[in-house]
Amino acid sequence: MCYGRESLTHEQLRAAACGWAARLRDRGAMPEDRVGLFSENSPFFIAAYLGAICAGACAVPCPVDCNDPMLRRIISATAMKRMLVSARFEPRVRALAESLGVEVIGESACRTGPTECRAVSVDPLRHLAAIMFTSGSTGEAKGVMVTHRNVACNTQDIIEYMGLTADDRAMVVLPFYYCYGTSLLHAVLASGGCLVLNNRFMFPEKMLDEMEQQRCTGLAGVPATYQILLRKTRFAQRRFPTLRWLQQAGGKLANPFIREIRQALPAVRFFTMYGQTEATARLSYLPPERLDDKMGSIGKGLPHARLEVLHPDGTPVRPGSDEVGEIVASGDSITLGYWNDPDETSRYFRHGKLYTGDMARLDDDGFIYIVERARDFIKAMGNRVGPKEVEEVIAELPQVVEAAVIGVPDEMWGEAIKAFIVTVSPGQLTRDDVRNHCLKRLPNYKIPEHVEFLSRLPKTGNGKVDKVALKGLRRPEEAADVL
Amino acid sequence: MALTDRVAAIFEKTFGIEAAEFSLKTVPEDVLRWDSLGHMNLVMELEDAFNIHFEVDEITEMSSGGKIIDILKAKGVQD
Repeated sequence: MCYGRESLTHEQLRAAACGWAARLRDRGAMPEDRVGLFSENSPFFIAAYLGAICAGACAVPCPVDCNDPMLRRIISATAMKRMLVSARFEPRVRALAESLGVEVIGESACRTGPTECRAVSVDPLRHLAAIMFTSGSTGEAKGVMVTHRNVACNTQDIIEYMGLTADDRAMVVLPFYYCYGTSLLHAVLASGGCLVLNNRFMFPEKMLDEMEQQRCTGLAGVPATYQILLRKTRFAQRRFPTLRWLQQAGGKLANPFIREIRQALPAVRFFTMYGQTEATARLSYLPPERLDDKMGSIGKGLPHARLEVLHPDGTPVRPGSDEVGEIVASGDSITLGYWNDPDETSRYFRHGKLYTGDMARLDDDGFIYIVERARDFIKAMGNRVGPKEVEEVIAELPQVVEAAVIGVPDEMWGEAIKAFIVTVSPGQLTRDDVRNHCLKRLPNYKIPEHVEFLSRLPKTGNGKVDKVALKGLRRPEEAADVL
Repeated sequence: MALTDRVAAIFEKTFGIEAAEFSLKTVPEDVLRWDSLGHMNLVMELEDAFNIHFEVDEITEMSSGGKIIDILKAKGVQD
């Protein structure tokens, strides 16, 4: 891995992880103990995370942008006994964690020198490798129980469909404390490749400079990553001679942006992916070769994540019809449920399957197209409207960086459609511009009644648009606080 | 106090570096904790110190000590 001017070989990383496993054992950590991790993306995070798992413990990566009340809730909810904390955050975290009876082990406490890497016996189907918190983009964040088997299977699937090899050098801008970033960590390291860590995406052009200098072969991003790169940098004009792949998950990137990327970088394979923390990370991907005829689809399930699209009565929707059903997933990547929350677990994990809450249809070839999250549908003028469809149309306007559509209360109709839009520069579009464009493409009842222009959309810690914040249920600046 | 010195003091407070290490040529690569998270903290400290509000474009333009000074001056902060 590379981190600024620092680099580590696989052997060095392994030794560091073994050092942390040994340190945890020294401190009395027992298999299945929850061990918190509070660190930015760094060599320390990777070594400490892998070390905790090697010691047989359950790693609990904590969002570093959370506030004190959220951190207290994470600590209490997981009953963690120890927390590995990077030097940067130790002053902030130590007092709070210790007041809750958590032993804080700072970055400098790693055991150095040759360390025996002792194998710990675990039941891969039952023992937890990690508790990963969901992003909270549609509600309260929850801790998902991820087993060793889950990690192994999902990682294997990702390596296979991405074609990852030891020659891959992946640019990492996503936080490791959410499952998308963690899945990248697992897959690239397991394939023998190199992680290039860049925590400075606030200067996206500089990130691209490093991507070129480090001869990266791939980049993973959420929709906002690519929207910013396309609208705020020279990404589409630059050449990246070593770049082989781009991957995108964490929500739907509107088709106009995908087309722009393909036009700019035709030789680079673009992977659209779908997943949930509840399924370890990835549930499906669209083969890049199918983007021409299946754009907008999330593809089909992975070998260890079978996907069905079912009506409420459990019957499958008919391929090629207009029938919409819920995506239901099964297989070895499906996690055990939510930590200490049997009610929510039984709500989404039933009959050995994960009920994703995502509504979709199937085309004739069995490719899945997400229509909307069940809870995100808007009832506008008595009609059911999926925000994604409206967002997609708004995104066709070249002045738009990103758009988010929600339902807001309306005295007459119950709900009205409101669009929040970020433009390349302020004042480039008016409400009428947006509505007139939508009128050319959508029926009347799907036209946003309200349009608000923002300098940025509120995001959760992993970069997803925080629609709960937009709905005003909490202030945007509290978006990272939710547990 | 000169504007550069005031910004240097903010860098010291935000990133834990010596004020003397700050210059117009200072870039994020020179400062370990000047990453995206640190940048947001820097922006908040600058806004508090100078009683101003930065637009998103200005925040992404602040890629060096010199550019920060230029943006502050453009917003009316006196040297």
